[in-house]
Amino acid sequence: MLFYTFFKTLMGKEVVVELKNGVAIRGTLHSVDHFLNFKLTETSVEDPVRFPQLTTLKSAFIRGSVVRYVHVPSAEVDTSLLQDAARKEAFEAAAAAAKAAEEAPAA
Amino acid sequence: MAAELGKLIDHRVMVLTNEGRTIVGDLAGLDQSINLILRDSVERVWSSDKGMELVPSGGLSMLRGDSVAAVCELNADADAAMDWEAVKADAIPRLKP
Repeated sequence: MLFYTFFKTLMGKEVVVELKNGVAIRGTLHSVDHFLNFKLTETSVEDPVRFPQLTTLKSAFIRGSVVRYVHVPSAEVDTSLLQDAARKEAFEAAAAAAKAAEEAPAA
Repeated sequence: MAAELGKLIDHRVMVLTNEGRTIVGDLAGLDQSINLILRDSVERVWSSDKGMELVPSGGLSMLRGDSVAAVCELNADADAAMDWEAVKADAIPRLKP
């Protein structure tokens, strides 16, 4: 959920999505959903010599499950804020799990 | 998510599958699981020695969502201008074992 929100803040920015097979696609982040599926516009493939097959694409909808990395512009990311938010979310998830474990035997 | 893909209906798309295959066709329909229906689809088979080969599948074909890696809109003019038969390239590596 946190990273969904994070990627939403990068909408309109140029990113590079690297797939699990090594293909890297550069484009403008148009939208992202809960599965971290990405829609890129104005796409270009990062290694056109190796992958000429993908040079004539205009936009790409990439399934979240095949993404290995997303390269984002570092100027657009407040890493300390992101780290705090990630910690907070992990803490809240752990607290919720502990509470559920506490209540479960009573029920 | 399907809303974004819905905009591509009746557009010429290239689908990249988990096996690294590329299938080009007109997107006729889709659902929440990214199951796709393609009209007039052709598979583009790539090899580094012979160049690209077209394998038509004829009529409508349905692709199961869990084997779809990406659905890409083609730039029709640039695609038509390419001499694909002369393009020699290794097949795209598969995405999942």
